[in-house]
Amino acid sequence: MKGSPPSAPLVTQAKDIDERKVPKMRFPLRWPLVGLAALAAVAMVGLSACQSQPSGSTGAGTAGGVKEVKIGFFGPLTGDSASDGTSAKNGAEMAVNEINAANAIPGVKLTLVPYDDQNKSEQASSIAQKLIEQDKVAAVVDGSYSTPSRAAGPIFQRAKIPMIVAYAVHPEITKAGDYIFRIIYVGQIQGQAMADYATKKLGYKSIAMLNVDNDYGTSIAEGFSNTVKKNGGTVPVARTYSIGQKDFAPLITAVKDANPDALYVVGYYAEASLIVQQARAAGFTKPILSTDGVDSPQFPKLAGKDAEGVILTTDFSRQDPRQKVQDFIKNYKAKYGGGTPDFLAASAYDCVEVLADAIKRGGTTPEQIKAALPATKIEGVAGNVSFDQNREVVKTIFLVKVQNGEFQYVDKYDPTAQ
Amino acid sequence: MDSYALTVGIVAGIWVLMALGLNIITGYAGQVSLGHAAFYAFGAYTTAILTTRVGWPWFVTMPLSVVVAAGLGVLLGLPSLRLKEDFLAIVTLGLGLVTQSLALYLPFTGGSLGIGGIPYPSVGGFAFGTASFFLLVAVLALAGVAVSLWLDRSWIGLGWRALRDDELAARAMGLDVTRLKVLAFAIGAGYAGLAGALLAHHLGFIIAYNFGFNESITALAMIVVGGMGTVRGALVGALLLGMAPELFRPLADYRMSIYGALIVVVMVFQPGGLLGERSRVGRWLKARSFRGRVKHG
Amino acid sequence: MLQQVANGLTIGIVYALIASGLALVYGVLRILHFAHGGVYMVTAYVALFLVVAAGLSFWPALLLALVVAGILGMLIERLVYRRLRGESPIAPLIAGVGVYIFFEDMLRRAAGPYTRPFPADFPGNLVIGPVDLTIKQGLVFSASLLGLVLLFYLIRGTKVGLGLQAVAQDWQTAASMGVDVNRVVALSFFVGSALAGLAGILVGMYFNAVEPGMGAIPGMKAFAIVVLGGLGSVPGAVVAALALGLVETLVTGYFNLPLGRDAIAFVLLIAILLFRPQGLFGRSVDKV
Repeated sequence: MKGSPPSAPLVTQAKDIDERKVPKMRFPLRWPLVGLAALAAVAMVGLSACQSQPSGSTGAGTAGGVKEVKIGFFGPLTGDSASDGTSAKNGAEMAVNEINAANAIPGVKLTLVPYDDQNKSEQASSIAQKLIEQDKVAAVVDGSYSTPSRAAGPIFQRAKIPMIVAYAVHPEITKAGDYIFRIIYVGQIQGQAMADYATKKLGYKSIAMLNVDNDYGTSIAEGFSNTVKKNGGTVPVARTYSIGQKDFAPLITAVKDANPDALYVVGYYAEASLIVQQARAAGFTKPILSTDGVDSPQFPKLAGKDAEGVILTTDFSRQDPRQKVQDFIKNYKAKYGGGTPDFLAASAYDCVEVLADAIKRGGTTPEQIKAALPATKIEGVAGNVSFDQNREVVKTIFLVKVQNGEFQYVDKYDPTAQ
Repeated sequence: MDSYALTVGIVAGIWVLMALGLNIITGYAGQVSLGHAAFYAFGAYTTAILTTRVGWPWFVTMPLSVVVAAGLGVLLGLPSLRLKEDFLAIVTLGLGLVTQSLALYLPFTGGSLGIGGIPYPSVGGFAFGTASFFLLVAVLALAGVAVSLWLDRSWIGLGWRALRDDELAARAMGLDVTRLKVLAFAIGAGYAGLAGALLAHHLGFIIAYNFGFNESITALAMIVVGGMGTVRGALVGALLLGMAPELFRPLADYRMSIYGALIVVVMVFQPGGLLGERSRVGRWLKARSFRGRVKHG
Repeated sequence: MLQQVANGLTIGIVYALIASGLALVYGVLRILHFAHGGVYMVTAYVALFLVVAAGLSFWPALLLALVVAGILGMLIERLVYRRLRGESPIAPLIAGVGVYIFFEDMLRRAAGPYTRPFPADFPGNLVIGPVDLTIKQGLVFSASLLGLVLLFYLIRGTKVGLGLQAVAQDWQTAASMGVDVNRVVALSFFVGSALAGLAGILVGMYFNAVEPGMGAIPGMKAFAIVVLGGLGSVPGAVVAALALGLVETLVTGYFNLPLGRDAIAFVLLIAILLFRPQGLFGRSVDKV
């Protein structure tokens, strides 16, 4: 049977049902409403009660003459991106401990309040509210990827709490308002840097490109290919791949067939190490360039000898002779094991440094911190930090090469001098 | 009021709508859907695109989100006519993944940069704050509950139940199975579309990653754990699992493991769901209801 | 072009391993075993552990890990799915998802969220005409082929396999004929999980990457492949898997689609089902 004619009701046996046995409509919402209300009430009470701090001025409490200033942190501490968020958290934590130990800000003690956002924007936005309302932080270090940062930024802006972005590159993040600052260069700048370096310094004319399909990948890819073309070069192959992808054979074959001077891999170390290995195994001998996503001890560990010779852009140079940098590396290794810290840890470390510097110059309230930030001029572990009028960082980009499993400084690039 | 608690409440309310919608498709009508997030996405992107690029106000774009999502639901209802459960499950799974992938790649949906600057609702000069937005979400969620309950007790609900229990028999009795299925998908999708629109305005920024397999499975887990085919089940499941990331925050590191284990334990020991028809609560409620009293005297 | 075909067949045969295991389980139990991807991933870690911590060499580690995989699969069936027989088919599906989530997260906690290398050295290349294969590639291909051949032999050529086929066709009749349905189901889970485990180990070794999330996408693609091939049909799954491997490779190798590579499997699925709702090799019925 196909179905009843259009005018028939959906159920055709209605009139045969005994009226008395059909229940009248009771007030249908009673039980669900009661349950809903009860659960909601319990949850609200529970959530409001946890972590509520004794009141004091925002972000600060006083204990025996030392003011406590809370700095929030959010990032992926569990889930797929856990290693990145943890790295950043470690960097921030270390900075806080060192600043307190050295009493770098007289009369002020910093406390880091970290939360896990699992790289999800709904969680980041809840965390933002929590940090503002319950923990009453004076400022926040954004140790997360772009998606959560985009969600959290406007919330901090509305609440007038300064947020410093460690490594998320989505161009719109800082546009949330004048309380949002970023100490990593945006994607387009990084791509531009490598393009200029590859075409002008290394003399490559045609460079194939494989980029990851998120905002990090596409913004860098855009910057790169525009600049290469502007400099008279070509990008004969430009393909995207997804995070988690393992099989790159079709892409590598396509790259090989185009016979470029070099290959530019835009992405994170997990996929990049696979691309590099598969490319070399397939007989691709040309140089490979990459981005700060592979700036991690995991890259040479995973790719082994195939990582050798890869040149990447980054803001963290391990060979930076400055005492500050060498101490950072030494202390991080001692405290957290696992090899040399990566640029994520270095960036988060610098975020805290920037905030500490602003607190020292301006004061401990959020408004004071925000007012002091634009004039920042410090030497961070990951390069010098100062801000332009859009609150984006002005810093030199380093080019480093993987040699003997370590990242060696090769050259530097000043985006403002182009 | 504490904005943090309100935010958690907003997210919970959005999940309530998602769960209620899936409850209609899968719980009432018995059509397995593993791609509920596709409707969620369509609703969210509709309002996002219309408010940020065309400048229409939220109270116009939100209903449109519901309509667009429902439209997609109708489109999905049609293949459900030819496919049985397992096939349908995988096709819906596929639709969810394809939608997410397209959202990530097409410039129309902002691509990998997503769509930002979605405005918080405002009426005339009055701009909504967190509390007012929460009120809006709560009202809509309650309305959703009311509509679900009404549908359950209506002839449509009866038809769905017949369809769910035995499609062949339902057809043999003269039920318009086609209309029932399409209706279930359309209405369920509409709920998800509304949830998506609310999410878009709540976060202010949406991107393909907000609408993935995890979200589809979360909605499914909510109705299954709570009690499939019941409104109270969808409610409790949504509130419990929707607030879980925040409630379990102290156990942060173990959150996902607990989540997974919870699903397995509930399924193995109480497959009808915690408040489902066969659970203690379900049977107690049934005995106390009018129908129950008529039956047992 | 031929190189791309070789690439496609290599990935395709690995898909075939996972999908055939899933098809086997589905054929017998008629449920979507969502935890299949979890078994795939856990086995890769087991093999890794055996090689790195216990010092076994690759092949013994692989064989041992396969046994573990099989046992794990049987345990999941016994503890979770068996208790849900007779419930709506959604129950085991959700339970399987729960198992998968639990596995993935526990492993992430235990072994760390980052990617680990799989130390297995098989260097060298094999050049056949215009096609350049690495030794590793050849190994993966042959091991997968062996796995599939053994599977076919099991199903078609042994008495046990006959029991499998019987239960897959009609378990009630098979039971009344004296087939121990529970044992057949357990066996199908053992074999199916071993196949998934084999795929996981080969992938981990070939790509030199073992990470907790590695089972999610292959698991879902396996579902698409099984449906595409015709539910419950193992040969159908194999053909569909190879076809998918080829399509994915050729499409991503030559074009820039506005779609992620992993979505291709599902676009293909939806397109084929529109014209052939029973899948490529499913039996044609009035309504599937």
